[in-house]
Amino acid sequence: MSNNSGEPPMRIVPSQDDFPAPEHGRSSLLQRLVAISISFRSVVIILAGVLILFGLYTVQHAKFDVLPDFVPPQVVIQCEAPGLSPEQVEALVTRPIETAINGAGHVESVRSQSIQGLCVLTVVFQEGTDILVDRQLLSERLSAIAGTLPTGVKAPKMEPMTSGTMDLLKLGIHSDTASPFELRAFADWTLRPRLLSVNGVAVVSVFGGNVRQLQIQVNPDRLAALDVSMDDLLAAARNATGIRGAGFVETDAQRIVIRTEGQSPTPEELGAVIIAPQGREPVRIADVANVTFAAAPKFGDALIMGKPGVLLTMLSQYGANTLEVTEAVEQALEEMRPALESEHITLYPRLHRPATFVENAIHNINSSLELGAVLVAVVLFLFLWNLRCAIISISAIPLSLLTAVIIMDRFGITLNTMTLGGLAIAIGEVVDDAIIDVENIYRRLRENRNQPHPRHPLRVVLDASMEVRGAVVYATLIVATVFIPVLTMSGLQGRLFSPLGIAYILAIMSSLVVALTITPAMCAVLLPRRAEIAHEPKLQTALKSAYVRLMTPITHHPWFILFVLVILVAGATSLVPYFGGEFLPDFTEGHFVPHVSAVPGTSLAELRRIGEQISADLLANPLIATVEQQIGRAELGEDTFGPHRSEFHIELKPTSADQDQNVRNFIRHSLETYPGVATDVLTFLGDRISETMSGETAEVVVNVFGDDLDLLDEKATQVQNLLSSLRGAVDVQVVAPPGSPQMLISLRHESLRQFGFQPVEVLDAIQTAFQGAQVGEINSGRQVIDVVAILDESRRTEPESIRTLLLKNRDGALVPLERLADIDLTTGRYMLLHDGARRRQTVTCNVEKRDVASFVMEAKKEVDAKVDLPAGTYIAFGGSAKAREDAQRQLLVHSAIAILGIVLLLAVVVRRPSNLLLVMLNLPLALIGGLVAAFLVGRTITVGSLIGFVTLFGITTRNSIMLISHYEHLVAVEGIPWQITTALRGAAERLVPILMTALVTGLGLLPIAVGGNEAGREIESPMAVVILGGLFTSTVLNLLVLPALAARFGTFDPRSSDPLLL
Amino acid sequence: MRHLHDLIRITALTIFALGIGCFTSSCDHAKDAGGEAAKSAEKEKPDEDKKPDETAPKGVKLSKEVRVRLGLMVEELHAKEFRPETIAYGVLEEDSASIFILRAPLAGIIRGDDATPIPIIGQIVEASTTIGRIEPRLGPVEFLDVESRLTQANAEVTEASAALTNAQLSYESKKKLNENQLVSDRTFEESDLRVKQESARLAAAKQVVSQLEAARSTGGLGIASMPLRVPRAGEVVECNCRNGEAVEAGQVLIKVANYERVIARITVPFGTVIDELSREARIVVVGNEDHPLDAHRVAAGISNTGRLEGRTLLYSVDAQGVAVRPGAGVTAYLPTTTETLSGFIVPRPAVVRYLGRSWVFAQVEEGQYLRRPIDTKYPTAAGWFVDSGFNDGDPIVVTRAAVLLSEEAKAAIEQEAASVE
Repeated sequence: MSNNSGEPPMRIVPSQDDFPAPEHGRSSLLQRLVAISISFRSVVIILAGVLILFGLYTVQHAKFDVLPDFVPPQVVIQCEAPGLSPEQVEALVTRPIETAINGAGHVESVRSQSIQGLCVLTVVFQEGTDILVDRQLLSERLSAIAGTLPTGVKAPKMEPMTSGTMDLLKLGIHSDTASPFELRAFADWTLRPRLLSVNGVAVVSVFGGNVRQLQIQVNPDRLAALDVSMDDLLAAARNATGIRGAGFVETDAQRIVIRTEGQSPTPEELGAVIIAPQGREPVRIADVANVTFAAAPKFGDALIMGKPGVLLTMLSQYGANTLEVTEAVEQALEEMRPALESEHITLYPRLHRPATFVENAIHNINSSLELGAVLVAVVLFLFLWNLRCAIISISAIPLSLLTAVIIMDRFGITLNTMTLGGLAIAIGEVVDDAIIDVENIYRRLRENRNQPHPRHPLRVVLDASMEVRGAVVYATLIVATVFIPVLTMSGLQGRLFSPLGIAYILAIMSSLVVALTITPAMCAVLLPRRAEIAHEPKLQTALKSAYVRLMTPITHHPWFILFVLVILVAGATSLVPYFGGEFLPDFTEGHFVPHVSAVPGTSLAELRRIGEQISADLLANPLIATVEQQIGRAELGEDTFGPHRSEFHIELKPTSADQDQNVRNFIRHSLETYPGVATDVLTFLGDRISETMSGETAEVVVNVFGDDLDLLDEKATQVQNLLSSLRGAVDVQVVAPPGSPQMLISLRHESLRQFGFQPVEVLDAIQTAFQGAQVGEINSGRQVIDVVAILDESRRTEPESIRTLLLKNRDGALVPLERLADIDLTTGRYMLLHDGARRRQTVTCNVEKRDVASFVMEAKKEVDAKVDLPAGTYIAFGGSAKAREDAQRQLLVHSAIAILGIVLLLAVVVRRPSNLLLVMLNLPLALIGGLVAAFLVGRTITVGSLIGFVTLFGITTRNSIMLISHYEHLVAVEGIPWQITTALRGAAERLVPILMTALVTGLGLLPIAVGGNEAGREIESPMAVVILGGLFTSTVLNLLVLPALAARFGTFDPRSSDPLLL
Repeated sequence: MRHLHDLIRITALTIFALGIGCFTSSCDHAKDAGGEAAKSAEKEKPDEDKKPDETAPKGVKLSKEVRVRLGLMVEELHAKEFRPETIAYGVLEEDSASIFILRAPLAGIIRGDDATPIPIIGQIVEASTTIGRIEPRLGPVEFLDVESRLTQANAEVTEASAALTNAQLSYESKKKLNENQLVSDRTFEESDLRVKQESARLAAAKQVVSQLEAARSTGGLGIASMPLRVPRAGEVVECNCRNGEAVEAGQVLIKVANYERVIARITVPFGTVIDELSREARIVVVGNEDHPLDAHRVAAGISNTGRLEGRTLLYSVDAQGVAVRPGAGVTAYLPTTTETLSGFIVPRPAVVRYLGRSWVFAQVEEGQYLRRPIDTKYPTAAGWFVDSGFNDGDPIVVTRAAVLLSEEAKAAIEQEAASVE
């Protein structure tokens, strides 16, 4: 290979002749790395191309999700206790299970909810434990206790492992012609099995419709009149619906299976079954009961677009790819469309589709990335006025980001709003290393060309790279170090933000590797022979000239500069009290989840009536696409809502963030016009995050712990009243309020003895009458239909009718229940809460028009002052405010440690205490801009904003290091004495790269900052605003303040070696 | 020295900056603290009048628009008379005055023909209807008896004939002797008497023979058959005879019943209070729940049905065209008070349960509702009968009462929160 200068060609394998000996007499690792990259530049460039292709392939097949898995390792356990009251469930089921599992390994906390007939426990394990091992440990404990629970209580079971955000898809079906039975049967027996067969779907819960039962609705008058006992009736029904196998007959040649069909599958056939009590004339079942297909007692219901329908809620498996599974489910639904049409069923497939938010967020992040890349390219070209330099610099963006994606994919980290946000924030940073490298190489090549004896261009490339290497490496390490506090955060905030930090650090470190290898190689290929290198771009010349003119008077007044700086810092600091605090901003999901609750004891029918009206009002808004309401709970669902509580899911049409907020206000105002219901409006993710933090779906959670339920209720009511009186409080509710009407039946044992009854006989009779006793099952095609004996419906509509329930003893005597028991209408609770096996009552609220942190602070003061707590009772605040407090505390502590580490790193780099202080000056410089920017935008500091501050320091330190290191180079290497003119010269020479890196970083963040609350940018936007503000002031002050202060206070000794030469 | 001066200046500036920051912050905090102190002082001001009574109903106000949207409906209560009843169970029995059993008067063969067909079960017969005939018949024992008696009677005839012949010969002899005055007139008269006696004995013996011979041929009655008549009208509920069937004397042939009136044996559970003076009741027969029947108490029963523990009362039930049968189970509605009560019927949807009681919402003025307790001890088909607490024309909420209850609970929190402020 020859060149125009006539010098001997550069050998592929470098030797000592090609590279001058380093000043220290040895070749460092980085130097050799850069040298090899230059020598094998073609190979390096080809490998870079392969890396990009592989990165794109990885992106195509990566797992996308809404958020990182922010749910700690946890298991949900359900235990059905049919018919037991909440108090009985608590005492007989919940407490024994809690006792059994509390000692299991790795258990961090146990929360439980006891409602009628069901107990749900959420067991949270310690961070970092293997969820599969945790489940195994739990399973062993549950197996041991299953046999000790009361008769009739089913064995506790663990819910399937689902992803943190849980909801995969909600869809609804409705029909104008099909009955609720047919609709529910279609959902249970056709739709649900098909959906469960899709890979990645863990659970499908069904709300609404009517579950068909073959009911034997007993008429107690006829039972008494015909002298038939309930036991006789149940026995006859069981015998009529039993299924038996019959074996087979085997001949010499064949085996012939015997199949028996003896069930009475129709109401008429079952009604004709003879009860045949002994000693009396045979009586048919139809003589004492109405046998008919009827609806099973419901725990929940659903409205689809304001009309009765069936709702199916799908949860995805743990670790499943939300987008892929959603697409697979939608494909399955498309295949089922003919079946739906033939049944005249209308399908609403997108009542809630979290994948939409993922797609929007990714789209927005991608837009930000693309726009940022374009802006970066424009800036680079404008400054360098050289297309090749711009290409070389920009190539660092895809190389760094794709490398980070590849590494994350290898380690199973999904691409979600956090990791993509981290990459988006890094977009400006990853190109900085390349810019510094390219700019310096470009300048040195230009200078070399103008030398009387130009050196080999590749030598120039190498030296120019090494010249800035030290600064680049240390700056990058510092930028990475500032993120360590984010990685070390624990709890929910750690799980949410760590992936952001990981993505950011990976991108930054990848950019460093790119800057050490690919960038020099590309420079070596594309730059050396260009004629345009001979001249400095005019823009650069003009900027430098103007800068020098501006700086000359400033550098002569360092104390004035310092004084102004102090005033600015003081001014910025004085803004701090005006800031509010929040844990997370609201996500622009295009989906809202209002909760609507009436007083406990309100019926399903009443909530449905209210829901129909609310749905009609909401659907009048043109921006609302779909509305569905789920009332109560699904059978075997995880929620423990009573029939008095319902949840709406409102999906919007594609809207902007502002429209999103307007719709939210519309929903809130609409709901406020409805009397008798407590409401709150959350987003789905906000709901899930709140629930993960505290078990409740609200921003502020106040837990009252104690043993006495009445006392807990009293104190919770006081807290509720206090919170309601505070400014900004909305949606104040007691989670499990008392006041649910109950009929208390207390058996009188002397009466039982007198009339010849056993207590359990009476309890069984009551249970059969009002809850129903399953006597068998019948098959109708694919459907399995329960056969249930229950009291006639007309006798189950008034609680007073319980008194006249006739019971028959073994001697055949009939006695009304009121003779055997005290029956009183009383007040109970629909739910009992535990946390760590302690009883608790919880008050929740959301905050409007002020920040959560100040609200909680005020609330704590009020509660401390006004709520008297007896011994054994105490209050603990939770919710997002606590999480923010924890996050803030952790961040500040860890940041202080990280800053200490950075200082030590800087001390190694700059060595002189005065120079170190000059670099540390970035902290207040960046603070000024960050605080002012946050103040101007919203006056709210979120955890994202705090991370922005942390990030800011690392980013802005780079420029100071570059400037100081250049001063070191000028004095130590070029032998220029340290004086004001040297400071001006060095600053002028660093002006372009400083401006470029700052502009590039800023422009890379600009789309995110401007994006505000658009989907996918909610968390990163405040971060970007803070960084932008701080970057602006830091850059301006670095260029104006630092040279002046360095000239006055800096120490640069020509005898010292350049420690930044690596 | 120069560096020392610089250090002092920097330190002074830093302290100055911190001082400015702390001063501005403390100003704001002092302002807030002052405000909060004033607020808390105001909050701590005792106001006994505002302290809420947690148990007293608070009332609910709703605007017209909200009421219309909810579909909240109000109806006026109108005075009604009501007699409380309690429920008891029993069984129907036959009223002995309403049945008639026709038995066979003698052993014989039942005969029916076109003119007098034997009835079938379910057939309605009029009073004095002839339902067939019975032909008397001797049974083997009777026949043997008649034969032996006939033999004896024939022997009697023979003996009487012989005795008469002997008496006649003696008379002839004595006549001649008397004519010859060889025997006294008395002796002659005695022989004459003996002839007459023997003649009479012979005649009687012959008559017995004649009767026995007649009985042997006609079954004893001396007639071919006798009709069977039912003296009372009614429905044939039992028929144990067929044409040509031999029956015994006293056998039940048919049972005619008139179930227009039956007896209900009702067991009132112990402890159940009924109006002892009232003898009227409503009876509902199983399967005829839509047709309650009037009943009149006739007696206290001696024993109960065994189904219920309690005392037994017998009621005469007028079937009023309903097909009732003995053995059917019945539900009896027995009045518990002598006098009817005056009050109002509260529809069931108007009632809510709360704090251990039942309530309705009364409209106190347009759009304003107050919760009032009611007693749900008197159920009726239309709702609950309440005899106190309301006046005629009082409007109550009959739909969406649960929403009002919920709203009241919510408003109570807001009122208490306001009182805290």
